[in-house]
Amino acid sequence: MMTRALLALALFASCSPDFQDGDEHFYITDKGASMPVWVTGNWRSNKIIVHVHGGPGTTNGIYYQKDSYQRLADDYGIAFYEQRGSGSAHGLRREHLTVEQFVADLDDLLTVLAARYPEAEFVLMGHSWGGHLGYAYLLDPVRQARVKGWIEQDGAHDSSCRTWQLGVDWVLAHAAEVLAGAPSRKTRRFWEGAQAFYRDVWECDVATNENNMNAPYEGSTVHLGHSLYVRAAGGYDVDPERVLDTAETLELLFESQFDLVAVTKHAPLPVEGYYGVDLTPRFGAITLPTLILWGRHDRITPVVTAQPALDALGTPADRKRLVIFEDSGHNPWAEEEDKFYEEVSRFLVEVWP
Amino acid sequence: MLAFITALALSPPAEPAPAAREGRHSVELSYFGYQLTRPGGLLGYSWRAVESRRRRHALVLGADVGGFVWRHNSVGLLALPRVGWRGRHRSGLQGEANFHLGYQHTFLPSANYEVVGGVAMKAANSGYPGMLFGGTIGIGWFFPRVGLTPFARVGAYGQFPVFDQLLARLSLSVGIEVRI
Repeated sequence: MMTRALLALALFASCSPDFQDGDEHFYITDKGASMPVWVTGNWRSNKIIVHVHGGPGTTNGIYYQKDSYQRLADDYGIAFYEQRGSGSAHGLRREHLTVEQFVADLDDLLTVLAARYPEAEFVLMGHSWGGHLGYAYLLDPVRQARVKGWIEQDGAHDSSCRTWQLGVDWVLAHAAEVLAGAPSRKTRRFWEGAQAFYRDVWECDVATNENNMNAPYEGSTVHLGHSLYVRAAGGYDVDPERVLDTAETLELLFESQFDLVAVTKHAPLPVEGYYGVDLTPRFGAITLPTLILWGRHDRITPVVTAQPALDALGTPADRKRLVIFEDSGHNPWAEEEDKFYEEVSRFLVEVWP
Repeated sequence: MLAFITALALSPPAEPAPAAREGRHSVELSYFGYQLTRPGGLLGYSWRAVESRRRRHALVLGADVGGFVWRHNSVGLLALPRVGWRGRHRSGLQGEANFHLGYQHTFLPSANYEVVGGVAMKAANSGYPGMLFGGTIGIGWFFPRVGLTPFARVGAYGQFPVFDQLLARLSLSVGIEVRI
């Protein structure tokens, strides 16, 4: 009786809701890191979206549960890969945390995907840091030729100090507004702490792009300190509950393939060559069909960087467009799921008629 | 500390063993839930190195070996030596606390590739070594006539390295101890 109960419990626990019949899973190992690749959805269509998650150092676990992605997976394959040092990847050597290595990893991924799915075509889709990484990958014409299109969502392609300063100014304005009222002692202490952080810790020179965002700060990095203040000020999402609710968090923690504990410990990874770098001036080299999606209320990767990216692309005007999500912050895929699905689908039908 | 444990371990039981199956050695078989829900199993051995006069309290040395499967994340093999205390009420209700320090080897649960010279090739899966340390607490119920103790334990471990850092892991085990 007890044995049966244990077997039933084990069987229940081994079923992960993220993994569907027909999905495939494998790893790519290089330079001390093993990066899992989960190919889900309708990959037999031979049209596969290669998903480049944000961070650096977060996970694909936050995307797959959303209807926006699940509906895309009904139509196309989606290859979710966890970058080195991220999510459920294994192994890490700090010396390989460079943009160049992440680009090389993405290239390895496309090599393995091409070998496993020789008839397939690929579109790259990057969110947040994944937007920076995606562009960094596509700047090389040989690599660019491996994909049919590019979708950027609230990407950090412009990681210059000038852009980060927009978020800093916004947080400080929010802090001043709160402190001008009659906040509780706890609230006052928190926002005074924010002011002290930007005064005493934060360094990002808008003239030289010298910065300390990878520097250690309270068990993580200076970048995380900034991210937490932007989040506290409401600069990530219009409604955070739409992005990751309690049920989704519990599924991630106890049922999925993803390692949320590791994510909370490691993100953001101190990737060299990311902070202080604006890739926009080089976008003329990119001629792929491109869709840029942005939440109006995003304060961590501000919406003002979207139009310059669109303008700078070498892609013909009729093959690139920018879509603004008026009721979203950093995560339109979660806050305006229907519109996200419709815009991405419309673009993919153009890429894959 | 080691000398103290050794000295206590070499001392004979304070009173003759009763008719009940209450030997100082036991084996344990349990379901092991890594992070509570990732299923696995443990096989354990325990030695009551030191027992109180009425055998209500014991310093227990032991070890568990086993593994778990975290589907599409990892397959882990464990070897976890432990030292702990067990105390028992005369009704049979038992409580315990253990400290564990051991080794975990984590294997990739699916095919592994590497790219060599621009060509995708299957790669070996030698896995990743790690250390586990932490504590468990548990309860059980001793049935002296048959020498069996069903038990449940919950634990918290530090796993190092995950990437290159220390991460907290939880565990749940439910099983049975057999005195031998």
